[in-house]
Order: sequence, then C-alpha cells, then structure tokens
Amino acid sequence: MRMVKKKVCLLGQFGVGKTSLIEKFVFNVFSEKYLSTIGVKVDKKEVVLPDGRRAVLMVWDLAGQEEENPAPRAYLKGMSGYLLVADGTRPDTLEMVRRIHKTVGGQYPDVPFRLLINKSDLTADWKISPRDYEDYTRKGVEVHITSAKEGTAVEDAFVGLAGAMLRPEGG
Amino acid sequence: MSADPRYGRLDARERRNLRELEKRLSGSAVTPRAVGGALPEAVLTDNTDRQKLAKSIMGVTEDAITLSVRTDPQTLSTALFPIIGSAIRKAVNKLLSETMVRMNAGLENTFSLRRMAWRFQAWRSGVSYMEILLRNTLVFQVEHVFLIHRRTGILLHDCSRAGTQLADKDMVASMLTAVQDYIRDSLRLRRKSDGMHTLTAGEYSFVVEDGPLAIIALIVRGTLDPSLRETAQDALETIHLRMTGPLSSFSGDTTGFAEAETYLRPCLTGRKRDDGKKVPIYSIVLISVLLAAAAFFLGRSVLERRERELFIERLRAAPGVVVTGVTRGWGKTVVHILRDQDMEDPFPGEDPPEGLSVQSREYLSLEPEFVLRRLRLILQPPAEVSLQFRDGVLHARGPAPEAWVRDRLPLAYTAGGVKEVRHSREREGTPLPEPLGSLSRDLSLQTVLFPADLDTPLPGQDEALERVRTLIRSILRAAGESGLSARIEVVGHAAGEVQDQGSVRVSLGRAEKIAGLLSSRDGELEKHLVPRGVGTAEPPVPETSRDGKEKNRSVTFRAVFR
Ligand SMILES: Nc1nc2c(ncn2[C@@H]2O[C@H](COP(=O)(O)OP(=O)(O)O)[C@@H](O)[C@H]2O)c(=O)[nH]1
Ligand SMILES: [Mg+2]
Repeated sequence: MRMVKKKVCLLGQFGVGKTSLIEKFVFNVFSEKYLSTIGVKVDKKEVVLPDGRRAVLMVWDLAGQEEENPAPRAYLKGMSGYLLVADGTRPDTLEMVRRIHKTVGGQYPDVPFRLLINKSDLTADWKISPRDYEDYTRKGVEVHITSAKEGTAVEDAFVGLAGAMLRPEGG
Repeated sequence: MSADPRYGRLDARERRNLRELEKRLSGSAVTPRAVGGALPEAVLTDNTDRQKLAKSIMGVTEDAITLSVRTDPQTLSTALFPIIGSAIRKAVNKLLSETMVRMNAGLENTFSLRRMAWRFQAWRSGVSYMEILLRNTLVFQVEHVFLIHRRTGILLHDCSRAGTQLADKDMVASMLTAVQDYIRDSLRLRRKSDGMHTLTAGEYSFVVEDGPLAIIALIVRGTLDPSLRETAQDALETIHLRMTGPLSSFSGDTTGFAEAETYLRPCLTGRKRDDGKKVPIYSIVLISVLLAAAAFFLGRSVLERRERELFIERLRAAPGVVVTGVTRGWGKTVVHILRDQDMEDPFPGEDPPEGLSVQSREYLSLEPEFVLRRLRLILQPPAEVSLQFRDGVLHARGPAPEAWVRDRLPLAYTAGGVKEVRHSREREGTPLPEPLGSLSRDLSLQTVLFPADLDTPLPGQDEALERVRTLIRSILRAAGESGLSARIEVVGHAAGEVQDQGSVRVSLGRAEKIAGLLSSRDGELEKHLVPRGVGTAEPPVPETSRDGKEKNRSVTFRAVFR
C-alpha cells in the first residue's frame, strides 16, 4: 500500500485556534515552547480519503502572522496545501486571512487551500456571516465552519484538503 | 618536567619518547618520522602495563595539549595523529570536537553537572581529571540516520541501530528542518557552510549535513567524533549523485528511497566503551526533550548573535561611522570602525551587546552633516548667516561683514569635501510664523498606537485623536490667517526590520483608518488629510526593544505648507 507524505501549513492570526485544531487530532509530541522560540511546531496527522487512499500530513503550525515576522516565509517552502484559519467571533481575523492569502497565494498560486472559520461553538458571539467571505465562496474556495473545541468539521477540513492535494496522482 | 613524580615511573625508552614528544609539541625540528618510529613501538611493547604508560603520558601532556589546542588545534592534531597512541588521539579528538561544536553551532556548553561530578570523582580517587573525562566520553554510537527532503522537511528514509527505537521519526525530521530554517533565516546566512552542523544537549547530539536537495541527520549518543561529519558528507554526496532525479521531483511518495539504505548504513558507526554497558532504548520523549533544549539554547544564542548583527548594522547606518571590518573570534566579535573626529560616541550612553567590542579610529567624514559641523567650527559664521552644504557646494546665506566674506569664508576649502563656496546676501527661507511653528511641532509629536497586525487603534487612544483633531484645526486656521495653504500628512508605520508589501499595506491601512476617524469627527478636515503608508521605512523610534516595536505600530502626523 502506497502512502504519501505531504507538508501542510496552518496559517492565521494569533488566537484563532490553529494549535487547538491540530491538537484535537494528534498525539502531542513537541511542546508549545517551539512555537514561541522558533515560530513553528510540526505535528503529524494521518488521513483516510473517502476512496480509501491514505496520506500522512506533516502539519506545520506557524506562530501568529506578525507583520514583522519574516520567519514563516522560509517555513512555507515545499508545502502541498494550507489551511487559512479565521475566528468566527472576530471579523478582523478574516481580514488577516485575506492579507495572508494575498501574499501566500501569490507565492504559491497552484497550492490548494481551504478556509476555516473556527469556534463555531460560540454561537452567541458569532460575528461572521457567509456574506463576509462570499468573495471566497464565489471563487469556489471551500469553507469549513469548525470548532476545535467540539471537534466539529475539523476532520472534514483536513480530509478535504488532502483530497485536493492528492487529486493529480488520482486513484 | 623531571619534578613530576610520575616521570620516575617511565623507563628510559619511554622517557626518551616523552622528550621527543615534548620537543615535537614545542615545535622543534624533530621529524614526525623519527618520533613515530620509536613511540608506537614503545606503546605496543609495553603490553603489560599499558594503562600506566598511557596514564603517565596523559598526565604530563595534558597541559601542553590543552594549551596547544587553544592556540591552534589544527597544527597539533596534524602533528600528533600519525605518531602517538590512540589514547591521546582520542583526547585530541575530544577537544577538537568540543571546539567544533562550539564554533559551528554557537552552543555554549558552559555548565554541565556531569562534568562537575567527574571533577569530584577525579579529586576523590586521585586519578587525573583527564582520564576520567576520557573514560566517560570517548564513546559514541550513531543510533539513527535520517535522510530528509530538503524543501519539504519530509523524512525520505532512515535506518536505526538494532535495539533502538524512535516513536515518531517523521516529526523529528520535520522539526530538525524547521530548526535549520530558523537558524539560517534569523542569521540571514549566505554561505551554505554556515548552516548548523551539530547540536548537543546532554548525552545526545545531532550531526546535520546539509545538501541542496537533501539533509542527512545523525542522532548520536556520546561524544561527537569529527569523523562523523565526513562520513555523513560522503553519504550525502553519494545520495545527491545517485538520486538527483527522485530528489528533485519528490512529491510525497517515499517508497523509491529505500535504495538510500546502502548509503546510509555506513553512518551507523560507533566506538564502544570497554565495560560494554548496554545502550538503553530511548524514546521520543528523550528526543523531544533534546530538541526542546537545543531549540532553547539555539534560540538564545541566535538571539544574541542577532543582537550583535543588528548593532553592527546600526553602526553601518550611523552617520560619520565607517565599518572597516568585523573579526569574529571565539565568543568575541570585534568591530573595527572609523569614526569622524567630531563624534564622541556613535550611540551615546549605550553599551555594545554582550560579546561585541568596538575598536575605533578617527577620520574625516565627508558626509554633509559632518562637513557642515566642521565648517561651523572653522568659519564661525555671524548669527545672521546660515550655512548649507550639498553635493560639495557650500552655500552661505544672509548678510555678513565684508571682512568675513573675504577672509574667513575661503577657509571653507580646508574643511575637506568642499568643492565650491557661494555666498548670497538674502536670508534663507523664513521660518514659519508663530503660532504655526509651534503648532506644527506639537502635531509632529502626536502618535496614535495600534496592536500588532491590526489597523484599529489600541483602546484608549480617543484622547490622542481628539488632541490631534484640535491641533489640526488650529493649524488650518493659523495657516489661513498667514495666507498659507496647509496639508496634513497622516503617516502610517509598521513595526519590524523588513520592509515588504505586508508592512506597507498594514501601515497604509492604519493611516487611512485614522484619516477616516478624524474626518468622521470633523468633516472640514477631510480634504486636508493625506494618508500615507511608509511601512517600516521611517520608524518613529529605533527598534531595539519591545517597547520600540510597540511605539512603531503607529500613525504620526506632519503639516506641510505652501
Ligand atoms: N470556544 C472555542 N475556543 C477555541 C476554539 N479553538 C480554539 N479556542 C481557544 O482559543 C484560544 C486560542 O487558541 P490557539 O489554538 O492557541 O490559537 P492559535 O494561536 O491560532 O494557535 C485558546 O484559548 C483556545 O482554547 C474553538 O473551536 N472554540
Ligand atoms: Mg498556536
């Protein structure tokens, strides 16, 4: 059975829930300390596609996209896909996603990605409506409304991204 | 030397060897061949009490070796390698590998409990510390070899020594790549050879060899042996040679890389301790701790180096200072600068960072600022006269006594850098009439602060905004009264050292936001406000501290009159 390994990056403003999203699904090996010292932590997630194919995702969780932090640029190289993460209770994080996407998408135009709006469990404070990201949906970008806390739709997001990444080798 | 009681324990031949060896160490003209002929033989024939011989030789040569290695390790090792017994060779290796680790990784191995314990053991047992050190450290075993894809950080293939296991090699491989990237990135290393080679934390070390397409990493238990790097380099070169195709077209399928096994296996070398203690199986937890420690130390030493580099950059940028050279030594970096004779200290009241010293010599700077300073001293212009210096031309403006123009002004040519001297009687553009002057100055001191990455001002900035609004109002009114038209530049800034599209966008966003907020408070202002985003190009404060960063996430204001 052939098993491919792919590098995937998690991008988004500090606090949107990137680390929580990946923690939900992997056995945590490296301490958070890495994020604060070198700005990245790598986790591993195995996914099974609907057609039965499997893939190992090496997920690079990058520290917040501070405007002055040039580090992430080096960390992006070689990635096969990425997840843009916003926080549904903070519209500014969606702006941040747009800014990140503009840079990253320019550099990696052919690399598949998904948009995640996280913290769907916080319905009372929810401030982002589909209209706020229709620029993405209109372009055919898949959007997942997730909750890292409750595990909602997180698996879907990773599996969906993996599916888009593996398509060319087709099954 | 004969005062050393151990000397008495040597027989005549050993003494002769020792004398020869000593001469050799002190650089006298004895040929390696001559000593080499005698010494190994002596060591070999003394089978019965080899320990004793080795011990005594070690005792006497310990200081000499340490001293010599400190001055120039290469000479000594080249001279000693072929002619002496393995014990001393190992000792030299040990010292060499320590210096290599220090030099290559910048890791400061200042304090080790284990070493303290050995010192204690040495003191208690009366055996030399060197011997204890040798007994405990001249052992290494490569337990894992990783072949990592350079670009993605994905583990392509690995082999491990029997009896060892590592729970998640994939993650270790990726983290190693990330640490590599981090070091290269934050030091802005240019030469490939500047990459990380070794990382040591406690009992474990990584040896990392970095090629254009792949990385080989060894996880070593024990003391790093310099030969390990060569072994790894060999393997890496062969792999690059044989597997260029699969390496450059790699897209996630690692099955093809099993072939690398042949080249990686030879890296699983080791040197065993005599008492044959078992090597314990260690786990991902240990490796994780090791990586964490390494990242911590590296993080710190990288930060310190970064700080030094930043200081040097600032020196380069400082007016009146020319950096003529940087010598990087062991733990000490010396910057040689030329400093204009009129300047006392490039950064008054600030000490250079740890591990850096500045050696300066005076020179005459031709930078306009410094030429002008000298011109003022030489010419002593009357109060009415202003001096301007640009492109080698001195322009003196304002009414001045004939005698000064005739006798003094020509002295300008002696200031250096002055090619032409002009004088005109009219005064320089008149200063702004009051209260415009002080209002503009006031405005230029106002700042609105922002959180990182965001273009919504920090909470509690309302007061500042209101102050700005009233100041602009007053300026517009005063300008109107003086028959001037005014525009107010709203200048957005971003924190950071790199100027890129991101920071310009953030800064413009901030400027536009503030212009918008001001206009919504006071519709009259709108047509006078010009938002600009300068990114990190004109930082309001030098970015040397966290505080500086916070102040630079801001919007400032500038009044321009016509
Ligand atoms: N309610 C809720 N809180 C979340 C969720 N995801 C993350 N958080 C919380 O948001 C904060 C930031 O999460 P973290 O994963 O550290 O964000 P990161 O900076 O993007 O890695 C933490 O306090 C998390 O507990 C979620 O889906 N729901
Ligand atoms: Mg995080």
